[in-house]
Order: sequence, then C-alpha cells, then structure tokens
Amino acid sequence: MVQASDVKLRRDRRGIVFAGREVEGFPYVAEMSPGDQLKVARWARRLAPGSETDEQKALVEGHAVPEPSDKRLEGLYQDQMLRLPQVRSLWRRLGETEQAAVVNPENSVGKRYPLNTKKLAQLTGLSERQVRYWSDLGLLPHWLDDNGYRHFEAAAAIVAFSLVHRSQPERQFYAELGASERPMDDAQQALSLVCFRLVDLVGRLDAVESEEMEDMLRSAADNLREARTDFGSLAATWPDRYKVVKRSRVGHRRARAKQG
Amino acid sequence: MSASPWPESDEDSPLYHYCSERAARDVMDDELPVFYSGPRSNFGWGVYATDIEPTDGESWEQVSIDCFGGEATQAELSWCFVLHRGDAQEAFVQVNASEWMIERLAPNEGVEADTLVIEVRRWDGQGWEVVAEWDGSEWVPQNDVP
Repeated sequence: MVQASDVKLRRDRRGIVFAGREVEGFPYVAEMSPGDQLKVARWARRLAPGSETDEQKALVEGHAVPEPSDKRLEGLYQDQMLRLPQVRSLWRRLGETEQAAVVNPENSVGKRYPLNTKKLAQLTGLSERQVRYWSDLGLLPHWLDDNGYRHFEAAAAIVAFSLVHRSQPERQFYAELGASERPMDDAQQALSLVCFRLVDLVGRLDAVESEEMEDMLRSAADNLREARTDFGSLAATWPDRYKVVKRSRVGHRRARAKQG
Repeated sequence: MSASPWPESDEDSPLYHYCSERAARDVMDDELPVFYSGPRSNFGWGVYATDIEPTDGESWEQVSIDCFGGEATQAELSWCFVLHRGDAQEAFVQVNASEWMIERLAPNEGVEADTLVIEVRRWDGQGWEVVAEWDGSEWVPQNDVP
C-alpha cells in the first residue's frame, strides 16, 4: 500500500519522487492515493503544461484553492493589527532592545509567538494581572484558544512595551477610555484638548517637528477612515474566536459594572 | 531593448516574500503552502514579493523603503519566504522597480504556492537563518529553530 505522503516534487521541478524513486515528468499513477494523484496533476498543469492526462485534467478541474481557515483569518487579523499606523507609530518609539525583544522574544523569554499571559508579562515587564487587565480592555490584541486561554502576537508586545513607559495617570486615562461606554465621545474630547495644546506649541517648534506632528494627526485620521472602510470590511471575515474576545470584553465590563 | 521600464532582473534568481512571524507560521502550518492576498496595497489585491535578498540587519529596512514607503516595521518583515518566480499557472509580474505580484481580485483570495516556495528564513537577531526547506511535499526543519 502506498502511503499518502509518498510523492514529492523533485528539486529541479521536472518530475516527482515516488516511492523513493525519481520519476521524469508528472505521470498519472493509479496506485497513488487520491490526494497524491491530485498533487501530481496540479504539478503537471503548473510545471509541464500540456502533459496532463485526461484523468489529471478531471482531477485539477474539480479542485478549488482552499478558503482561509479560521486560524488563517485570525493570523490575517493579527497581521492587520501589526500594520495599523498607531502600532507602527508605537514601534518607532520603542528602544532598540525592546524592538529586538519584539522580533525575537525567544532570546528574552525562551519562547516564540504566540506568547501566553505569563510570557508576555515576562517579556515586557508588565505584571500578569496588568496583561489580563489591558487585554480585557481591548488594548492588547489577542486571541483565545479552545480552552479560553489568551495568546498574544507581536502587535500586543509592541503595545505592552509602550504601556510600560506610560505614567500611572496616563495608564489610568487609557483604562477609563477602554472601559468607557462612549469611547468615541471620550476620545474626541481628549483629542480636542490635545489639539488645543498642539496648536499652542506649533509656533515654538521647528519645521520638522511640526511636520512630524501633522503626519501623526493625519495618520490618526487615516486610521479612522480605514476603520470604516478596508479594516471594517475585513472585520466581517474575522474568525469567531475574535468575536468571542469582543464578547468577553463586553462581559467583563458588564461584570465590573454590576460589581459597582 | 527591454520593454520593461525597470532595471533588468535575473529571471532565474529567486524572489522574496517578507512577512511577520505569525504570517509565516500560518503558511507553514497548513498542509500545502497557500498565500492569501492582503487587504490593501499599492498595486491592488495580491501576493507581493521583492528581489531584495535578506542578507543582513538592514535588508528589512530596504524592503520597507522600496515596497512600503518606509512605513513597515521590522516586526512585519522579520521572516521571509524564498520563492521561484512562477510556473505556467501562477507567475509573479513586476509592478515596480523592486516589487512583483501575483494579482487577485479581492482580499483573502489564495495563491497555492507548493510549486513556488523554496525555503523560509527568519531574522534571529544576528543573521537570516533558514528555518525550513520545502522539499516539494512538506517543510523540512533546519537549524533547530525554536
């Protein structure tokens, strides 16, 4: 009996290795498993067009590129977070050591991504309780496994390092914003105050500093627009696990509200 | 005379798809490697690659400047798939001086890459280490990467 994994593409891409023997071209072999027959048929179409047998043509025509699994969608979502302008902006403000720790966490905590709560806390200097708290408030992007445990990728490490640098009153402000029932209202008010102060400062800054500030504000506006368009449309495809996280956040807030 | 507006590129040399660790891990975890078109890009939906080879600690910066307007961070570009330029069904098309793409019509559309991938590398803090080689059927781990 031929095993399902008993066919490989040759390194020169001109044939296959089947049952340990090199074969020229991409023949249809009846004793191969259906999975391997499909593999070889696809290679024939891609690497030796015109060489396919009728059986191989039928196999390839019935084959569709797989839709992304929930796990892949989760990964695409995590990547999307990593590319957000504000996460990029936070990254640029990390020190070299912190950036190195984000890229290669195993050098600091002996573990690659995804990191659990304990490892993210060890990596960034937050306490485990703080990691749980900030992730419940939605500031540390994460996903939940089947047992409900949080897992964090690079975007969360960048945000967590940034939170470590903030003063206690600042963290309190972010916490209140995260827990707010009307976060857009609160953010708008805070931004108005910040912008008022910025306009006052602009006259005293040099041209480069002013330009950087304008870029930051423009980036924030772009980010909001993306949230409504590209990012929002992708959100419709986000995996159930992310929706679970969002529900758990709401549940957490409700529980806290009940506790008074 | 070449019709291409860009500098000539060696047709036999590989291309490189830089990505985050999470993205690379997801591709490697699937039974067959499939890349999914990203949600947004300069030249439309698709899977992108560059001819900028990962050689040292500055490679990712060059990729960020040439392909992402300097905006992408090292965390987004710390892993890299080495790729063939194409086959009869899927081929990278040059869209900029240092950018190639396989076009798709919408985000999250797949490009089956089992005839395209050669190996995957990562920046380990000191150099670009080969994580695994694609043997045509599965990933063969290299260098005891954790």
